[in-house]
Amino acid sequence: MLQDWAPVLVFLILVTGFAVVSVVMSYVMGVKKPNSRKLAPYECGMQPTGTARERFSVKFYLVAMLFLLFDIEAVFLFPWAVVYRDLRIFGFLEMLLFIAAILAGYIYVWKKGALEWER
Amino acid sequence: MKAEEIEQKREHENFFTTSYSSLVNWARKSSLWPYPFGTACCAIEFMATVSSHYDLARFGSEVVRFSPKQSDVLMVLGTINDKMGPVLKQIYDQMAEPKWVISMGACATCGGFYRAYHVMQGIDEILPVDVYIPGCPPVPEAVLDAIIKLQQQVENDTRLSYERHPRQQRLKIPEVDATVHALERPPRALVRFLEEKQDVQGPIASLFKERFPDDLISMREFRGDLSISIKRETAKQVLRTLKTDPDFNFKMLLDVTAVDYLSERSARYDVVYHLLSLSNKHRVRIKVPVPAEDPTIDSMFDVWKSADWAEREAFDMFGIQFKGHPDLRRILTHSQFVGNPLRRDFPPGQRTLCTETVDLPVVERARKYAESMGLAQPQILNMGPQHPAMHGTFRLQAAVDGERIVDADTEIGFLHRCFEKMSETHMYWQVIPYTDRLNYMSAMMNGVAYAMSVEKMFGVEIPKRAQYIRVILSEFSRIADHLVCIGTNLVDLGAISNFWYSFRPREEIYDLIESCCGGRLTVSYVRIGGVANDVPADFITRARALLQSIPKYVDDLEKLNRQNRIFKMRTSGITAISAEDAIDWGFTGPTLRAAGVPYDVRKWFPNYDYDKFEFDIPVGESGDVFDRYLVRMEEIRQSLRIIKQALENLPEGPVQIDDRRISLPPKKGVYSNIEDLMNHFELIQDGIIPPIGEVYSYWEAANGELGFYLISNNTKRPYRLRVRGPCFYIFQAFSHMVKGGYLSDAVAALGSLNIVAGELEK
Amino acid sequence: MIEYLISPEFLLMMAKIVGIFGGVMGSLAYLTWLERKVMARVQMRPGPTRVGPFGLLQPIADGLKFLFKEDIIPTQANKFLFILAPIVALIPALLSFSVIPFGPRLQVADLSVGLLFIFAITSLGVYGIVLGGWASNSKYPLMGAMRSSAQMISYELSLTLSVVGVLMIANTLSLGELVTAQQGTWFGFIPRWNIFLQPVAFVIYVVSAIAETNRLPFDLAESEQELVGGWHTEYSSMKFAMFMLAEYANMLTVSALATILFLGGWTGPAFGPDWLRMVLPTIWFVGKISVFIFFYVLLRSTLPRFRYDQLMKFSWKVLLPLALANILITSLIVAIS
Repeated sequence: MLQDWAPVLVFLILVTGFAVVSVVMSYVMGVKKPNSRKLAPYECGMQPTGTARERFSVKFYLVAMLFLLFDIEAVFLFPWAVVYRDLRIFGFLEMLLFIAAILAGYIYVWKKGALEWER
Repeated sequence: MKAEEIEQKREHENFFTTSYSSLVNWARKSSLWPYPFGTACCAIEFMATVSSHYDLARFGSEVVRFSPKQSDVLMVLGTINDKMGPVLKQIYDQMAEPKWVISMGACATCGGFYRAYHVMQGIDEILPVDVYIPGCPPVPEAVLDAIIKLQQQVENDTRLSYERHPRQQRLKIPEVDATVHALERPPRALVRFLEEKQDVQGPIASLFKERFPDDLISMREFRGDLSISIKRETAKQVLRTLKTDPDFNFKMLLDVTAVDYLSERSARYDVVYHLLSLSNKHRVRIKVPVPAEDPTIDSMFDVWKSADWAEREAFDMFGIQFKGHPDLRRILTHSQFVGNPLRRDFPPGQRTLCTETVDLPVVERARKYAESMGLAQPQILNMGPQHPAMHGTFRLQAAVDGERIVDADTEIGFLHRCFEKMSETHMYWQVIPYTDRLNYMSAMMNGVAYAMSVEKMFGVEIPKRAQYIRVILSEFSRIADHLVCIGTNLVDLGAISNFWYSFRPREEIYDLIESCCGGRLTVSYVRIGGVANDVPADFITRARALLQSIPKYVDDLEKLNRQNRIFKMRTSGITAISAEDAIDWGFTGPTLRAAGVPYDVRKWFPNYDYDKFEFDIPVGESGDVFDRYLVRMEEIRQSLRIIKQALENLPEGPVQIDDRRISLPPKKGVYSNIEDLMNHFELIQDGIIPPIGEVYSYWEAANGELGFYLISNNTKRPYRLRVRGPCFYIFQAFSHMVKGGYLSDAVAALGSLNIVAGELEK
Repeated sequence: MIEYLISPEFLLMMAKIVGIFGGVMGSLAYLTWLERKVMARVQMRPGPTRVGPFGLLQPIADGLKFLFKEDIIPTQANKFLFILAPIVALIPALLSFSVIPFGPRLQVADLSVGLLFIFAITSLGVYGIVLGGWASNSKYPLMGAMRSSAQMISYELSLTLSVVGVLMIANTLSLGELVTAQQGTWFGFIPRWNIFLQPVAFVIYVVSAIAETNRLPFDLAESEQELVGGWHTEYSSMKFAMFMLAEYANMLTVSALATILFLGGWTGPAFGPDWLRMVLPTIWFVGKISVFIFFYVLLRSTLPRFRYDQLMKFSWKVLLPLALANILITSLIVAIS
């Protein structure tokens, strides 16, 4: 079984090599004439005000956590789907319960307004 | 490089280095990605070069990148003034090597004909330039030629790793070779004219005399304009009554400006207000004399919101303090500027260097607000002058909270080209090319509005054929302007193909206008008293052909966008504005009509047989972005209707008025009798000389009411020419309109307002 | 060990790897050319024509130019992450081609969990974007990176859930087997493609795929008009080119997956002489992918982009329930029949 993955490993080495070589080549072959303004952040020609490390909205964390929950559900659904034909109605009912539980959570999240991206 | 150095370099070359360098040069020249630093009219011709008629993409250069680190060629498209200088330098310095600079147009090359106090006389004061493109603006073929020349330069360059030019230091402020170094004093006759007390009859005049007998200083009427001078101390109450009282009902403040009479008059300045009453179609001009020792006056900001920026401009240009104004700072000139440029004793060419960029009040405001409410410090985002959605010359500094704009301020003045000072230093007909560059999308209309003001000053009417030609070409210019607005608005929303679809019909309009006068974008076709020359013989057939082809392009645009769900989602309800607010801010034109007010100068104060044409005024409901789009699309169709009717009724006759004060005498007379010879000589030498007077004339330009307030002192140069640009009054509301909305909505809204920098900043 | 390295299986595997890698890299480069040409035609103009015949050398010129351009690392940037980000973006994008079947025996590795492998690898691509924006330490890139990552993970949900229906029908996660299961026809002329069995899932998949790859109308995170360049504003030269390559590689991957899952992959009528029969599956495969690429480019040319909140709402409130409903209905039908 592990034999199947050997080509993938070789491909990975090839791809990584290509990426690293690209970065190194551009460093080696590119012109190098830095000055202080070139290395400053871009903000449409003006000096930027404040830093970029400001706090950002908690909505992003919320989305990440919700994604995690639903992704776990997807992870469970994949193997179930692959062997589904053998499970028949029994499998369907089992999964119905599982999805119903997830859906209950989803409806709760919807009603609570966590899916409102108003900011 | 000296010959020996070149020889030395050649010795080190061999087959490998030469083929390596030619490969590198081939790659670089085939993939020159431009950074379009567009500010003014040249940017529009660059956009035409990118459009499907000329297609810069064939050279591999269509990928315009707005991040300096990802682009190769800095293309400076348009006038660069002192305020924009630091921004340009910063962008250039931030570009990755190897980089090249193309300077497009006369203004970027040498300042163009703006030899004035705020304009950089060529970008090579601060940047090294590789290719200069002459022209004002250059035609797209010239831009393609410049790219080819640059490609040849890149190809023949043998250096591989280099900094293209050493950093330049500007050693001194270059002199401006101004046309006129000092302006003349106002003559006695002008002052006497202004102070003359007439006994004016008329509904507004008699009502005014009844209501404000003590505040009135003098009243006069000239060429149909009612002009009332009132005392400074009670000016605010009078103006407030004029707005709120139902008999007067002057709900719209069109313009606030000032005039400087030096010491010829006891009160040196006149602050001039132009008011319009929409309910009973009355106009009035209120003048308030302000002495030099105490140049202050009450601010009218709490009476009309449109006084906000206009008073800042008067403060900037004249130094008049407006008491009670919330934020009195310079608006058009940069923050380090010394002096008040429109004062009569200010030398037109006196420049001040600008070396830094400033933060706007929003930064302080947002910080204080956050502190007082105990919130975290807000993030300040700068959508600075060079930003694709900002169309090159406006700056929005916003305090954002995630996606929402909590507070915002705009800054303008990055294209202030001193139009009003230039008009004081040039003859009447020399001002016409300057007017073309005000709203450069529809250049013809500015010239028509200006010529109307001078013709009103003379009190003459131009021949019918000239009127109809002006109408036809103005309506075509209006169509061109609306097409650009719609195209760029949609590009800002992401639907990029609309740009090409909307520029295609513009090329056909340009072809027609070029056949009349030789110019595509800036036409200078209008003359005082008519138009420069008669239209060519095939004009009517070509115009009729255009009337057939333009609706097809407009239909294509409609099909792409009208029913598009995403477009509606992005534009419905965005920055809606009510009719009262719009009138209070001084909106005119499609933005006002989209808010529900059917004000159109062509219908309300018709001129040039507009009352004989049948056309409708599209009026919106909520004033949001979608309504503005619909109003503009419909106006294109209505303009086509007007053109059709005008073409059918185009009368025969002369195209220039037969008035010896204005037009040149026929050559036959010049060569045969002395009177015509003298007349010809004087007109060429001094230009036209209108009588003493002051008029305000207005015209429905593409963005609204374009007004010219002209004061003549019976010399060859205007004494004062004030341009009331419609965009100025629309853009001041922008920072208020976007508060509370998303950043994406601000971008969509800006595109729909069609703010043209030339008109905004004069 | 040495015998393995020179054995025919190893050499064949190396030949396949090099061939597929070369083919993919070449087609990525020409994907940019294709996009510029098609967009140009939509916009009534010729597009690149001067650089080589029909502008065919344009991508090569662009790539070489990037190689020789100055590589700027801003002072305020986090140096290590700044350099790592494009590498992290590019590796997963290219690695997913190792399990894509380009023909009956033209596959680098036919893993039994091929589909799962691809989804796992493409999820890693989000890291490249987030790292790029974070490492730049500048406002525009950071905003773009945050938006983009939230968008990508939201649409990944509907992407993965939409293929569950196909899995139920095919009973396998291996991409090679998924394709062979769609060989043959019904009634002699309708091919046994999953698109006819799972039309709703197909639509959900395509929409989610466009959002996953940050393309118009879902490209707010890198929209030029608003954020200047999004997360790659501060990048120059080859690193920028690598981000662009990664984006096009993702586009190619999701299009390839769409054809494998719904349009039968390399299956198609075989005819003609032997040598033609050998290359015909690859031609069918490439042809079907081209349909998707063309669709991508057409969308980019015509539609305006969504605002961010509209985008997120669409994913969580429309696509997700739709995908779940599709799973339930499909499972019911399969259970009954």
